[in-house]
Amino acid sequence: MIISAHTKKTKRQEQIAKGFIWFFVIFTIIILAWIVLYVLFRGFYFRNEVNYDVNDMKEQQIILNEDVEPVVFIVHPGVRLDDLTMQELRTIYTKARKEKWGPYTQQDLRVETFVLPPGTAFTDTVNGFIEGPEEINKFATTAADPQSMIGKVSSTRGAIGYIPASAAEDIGKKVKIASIRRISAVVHPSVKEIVNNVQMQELTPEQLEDIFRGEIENWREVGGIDLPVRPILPPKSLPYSVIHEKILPDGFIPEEVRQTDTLEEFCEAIKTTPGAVGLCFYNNIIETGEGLHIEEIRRVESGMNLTIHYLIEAPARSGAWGGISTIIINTFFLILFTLLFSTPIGVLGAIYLVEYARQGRLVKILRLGTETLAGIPSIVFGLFGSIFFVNMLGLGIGFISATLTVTMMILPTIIRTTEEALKAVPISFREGSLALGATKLQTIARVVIPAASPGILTGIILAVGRTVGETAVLIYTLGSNYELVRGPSSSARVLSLHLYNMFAEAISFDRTFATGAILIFIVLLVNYSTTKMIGRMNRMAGK
Amino acid sequence: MKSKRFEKVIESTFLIFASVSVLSVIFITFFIVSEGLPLFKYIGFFDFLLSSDWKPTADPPSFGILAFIVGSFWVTFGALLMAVPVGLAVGIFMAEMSTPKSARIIRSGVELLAGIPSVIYGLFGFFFIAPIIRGLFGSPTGLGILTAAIVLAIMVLPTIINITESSLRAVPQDLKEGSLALGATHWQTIVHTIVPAARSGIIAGIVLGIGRAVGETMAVLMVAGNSPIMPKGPLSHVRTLTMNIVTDLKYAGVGSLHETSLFTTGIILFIFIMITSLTVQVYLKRSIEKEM
Amino acid sequence: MEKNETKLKIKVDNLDLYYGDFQALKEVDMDIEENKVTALIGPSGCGKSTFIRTLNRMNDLIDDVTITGNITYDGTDIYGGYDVIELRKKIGMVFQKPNPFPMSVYDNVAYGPKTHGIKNKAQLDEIVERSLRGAALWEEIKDRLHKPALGISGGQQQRLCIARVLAVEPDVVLMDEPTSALDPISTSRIEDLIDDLKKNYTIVIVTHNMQQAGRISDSTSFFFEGVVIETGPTEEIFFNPRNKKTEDYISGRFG
Repeated sequence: MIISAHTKKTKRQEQIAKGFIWFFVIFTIIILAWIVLYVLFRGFYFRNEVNYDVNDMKEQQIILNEDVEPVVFIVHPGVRLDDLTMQELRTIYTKARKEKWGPYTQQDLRVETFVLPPGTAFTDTVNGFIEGPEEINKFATTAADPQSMIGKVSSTRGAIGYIPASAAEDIGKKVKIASIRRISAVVHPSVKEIVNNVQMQELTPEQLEDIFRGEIENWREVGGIDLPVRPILPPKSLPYSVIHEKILPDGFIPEEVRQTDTLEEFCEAIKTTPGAVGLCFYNNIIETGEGLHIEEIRRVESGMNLTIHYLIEAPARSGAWGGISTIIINTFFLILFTLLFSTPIGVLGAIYLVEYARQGRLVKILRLGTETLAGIPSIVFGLFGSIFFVNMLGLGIGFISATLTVTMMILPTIIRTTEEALKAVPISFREGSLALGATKLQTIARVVIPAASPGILTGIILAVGRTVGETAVLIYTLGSNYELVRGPSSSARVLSLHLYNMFAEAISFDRTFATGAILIFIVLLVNYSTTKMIGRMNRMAGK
Repeated sequence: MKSKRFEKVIESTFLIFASVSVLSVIFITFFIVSEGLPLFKYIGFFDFLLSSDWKPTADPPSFGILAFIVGSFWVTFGALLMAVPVGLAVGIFMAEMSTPKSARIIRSGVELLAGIPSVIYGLFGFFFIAPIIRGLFGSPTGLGILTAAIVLAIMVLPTIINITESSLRAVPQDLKEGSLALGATHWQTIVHTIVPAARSGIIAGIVLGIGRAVGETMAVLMVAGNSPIMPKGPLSHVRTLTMNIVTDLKYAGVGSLHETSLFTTGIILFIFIMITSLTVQVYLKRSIEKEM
Repeated sequence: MEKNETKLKIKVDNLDLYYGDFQALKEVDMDIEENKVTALIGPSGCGKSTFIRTLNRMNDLIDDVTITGNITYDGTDIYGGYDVIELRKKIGMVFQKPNPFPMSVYDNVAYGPKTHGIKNKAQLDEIVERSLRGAALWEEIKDRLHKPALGISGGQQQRLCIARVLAVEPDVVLMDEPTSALDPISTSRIEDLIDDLKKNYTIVIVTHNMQQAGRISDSTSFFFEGVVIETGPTEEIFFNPRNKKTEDYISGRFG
């Protein structure tokens, strides 16, 4: 191969330069994919780490003592609950005001509590268990017997009640069982000491297991200070046997673990043994436990974020509970009104520019106007719309102001794409129609517009995409009322605003992402539609 | 004839519609200026621009937007520093190095990027980029000029890529052949012939990118930190001109001097955007003329 | 073995060229002699431009081109034995439509040498002057060397393009209808130039204009539908063609 040294050098330079370019291209593609996938992923799937006073050990049948049957708590199937902590159960039954399921399941649903008639050993024990130091509130309804309880809970939305374990055998799908978590970890104060800025933070369920299997010997190993671990278990008798079963399922108690024989002995041991950690019931601590310090346990909670439910239910508490149905509908209305207003102006204006106007000074000015309008930042529109339409013209915050302002913003997009589409229609089409005796208007309406329709539709779809994504303008012209819009002048929250609101006020980051995922879907849809349209345009032009 | 008159009426109607844009621009300009100008009765033009003392609710209030001008500047500068090389590279790739099919796929991707709403970019910046900045540089919040610049760079990328690609494609094929026939490599041809020939268009693209970056509101609002004082470095929290308007509009009293000052800020923004817009027009015209 | 009087600069053997499925060149053989002007004539679309572009591998730029056969330059295969960049330094090309770069006259001519690593200003100055003189343009342009190349007339632009090629110091200069976009006076100047250039370079010229071929070339090849119908010394082709088709074309019956 005849090749000079200099040529070799320039070829090498070319390879390096092209390598850099490839790198940048792949980098850009990765960024794009990453943004879309990240928002979609977090929109669909949430994973949070939450601290609780109780462990993640759930009990469906709760043994209270050796005298009465175990109790099973049931809820209406529509309540999206997996389990409740002891404290949450208590709050639901004893709170002075009627509780809602929102804080526990993000549902905008009132809690309807049910109890069995007092007087039996079972009911009294259970009620006592629920009440703790408080009292069951006045909102609880009494069901005559377990069968009736099942019937009432299965037919009342948001209901929660309880039945003895024996009655739980044939509940089938009528009601859902709510597991209760009531096992807490308690530690001696020494475990929580701060030495050299090191302090024991929360434990995970796995660490707790390891401690009671004797595998963790020093608090250092779980982020605490240098102090030997002393695991202590409560008595093996009922009801504490449950604890034993859960923490040491095979029944073997390692020698490091101290076994106590009475509850008093257990509490005493925890209070006096440095480095001690033990498991007992939450209500034991509340009832007897000064000096017993609860160690928080961190649980990983994950699940689907953007669910059908989210899309169908209406929002509550500014989006913290419920879904986003009304917001989607509001967004739809915004799109509708904006299109109704801007499409005629944009399309007909473009028709003038292409079909009628003489290509002189006037057209240049009109085009310049469109280009300039396109460059104005959205916040200036927001400023303008908010002061002019909302205040000065007194149109108020609502769809009218928003539509007018957004129309100005998206007009350039529609005009530009319509112009391109019209220009692409061959002159021969027009000439053919005119030669047949049609008027100019008829030609435009019957020949040119249909031929240009994919292009025009592209512009409209793009305008829709922009409208949906717009936020700065809408904050000040459309407002943030998240209920279904009531009329042309009422405030209405749309998707982009909802996202921003939930983010800025830190209402729920998971839901912020869920809303974001919906927005991304809309963008993908817009993108897909325009690509298809352009494909159709090219095919019609014979490419 | 009747139909002739009808046609004339239709034509005039269409003309009116076509003028809506121009009328809107004129009206908005007029409105913003007339609402914002009264501030200068209270404070001098140069004091407004060059003071970084923004205390609109103090007694007496002071309105200096230097901190925001500087904020907008740094955020935009950083964004372009990152976006121009990448954008040029991708544009060159699409116009000169890739197959038509790949170019189409990348173009779809770029359009997708362009269509993503700014709040999503803000979300991404806040939850993904800010923690990285936090970890890498030890910044307490991870928000600030750097994060905002990164987010803006991604947002501005599609503009630069698109215009760079079209400008490069518009360079006549015979220039490229002339260079290659002289024994230049493809890369040498790109660097010494094609890109220089597309210079006007590329500059137009960059200036357009600047305009977009300066005008961006929501994404920077979510990641720039919103601190109304002069920034000290790339990790400082900052507030841009657009952020200032958005933040204060909510609680500025109607008809108050505070509200007026926001319009005045709007005037400054407006002037800047107008300049960039006109520059773009000029450069685009120049690039089209070159073809002829 | 007998050594030829005139050396063969380029030898083409059995060249076939396909654009996809369409065969544009069929079994072309040609010998291009050193320091001579070889003209390629024929009706539009007959493959002569395609052929000349094969000689400096400009067809590499087009996808879906298949080439079989053998082309050697100074005895070396231009595909396997020569790096394409090197090849194009040796075999230059002037195009139909003048295509000066949007730079100054000086920069246009200096483009080639700069690309090939010459940085020294004095050297470049010398090369620019020499090339412009070689293209018979120096006297007209020496006072506006740094003005834009696009500001000069069409004929001057084409001579500039020739100077640009000469600056690279090639062996062979390919010309693809170099005067078809120019007025008669410029055309005649360039024809004189070609006559001069052949002393130091080997020229291959595609032309639509038979009279031009007759005026300036030493040997002529007649292309028709991708096939070389006849090759030979120019007088023979024009006054004594062996093939009827050649005769018909020469006498203007078609083309």
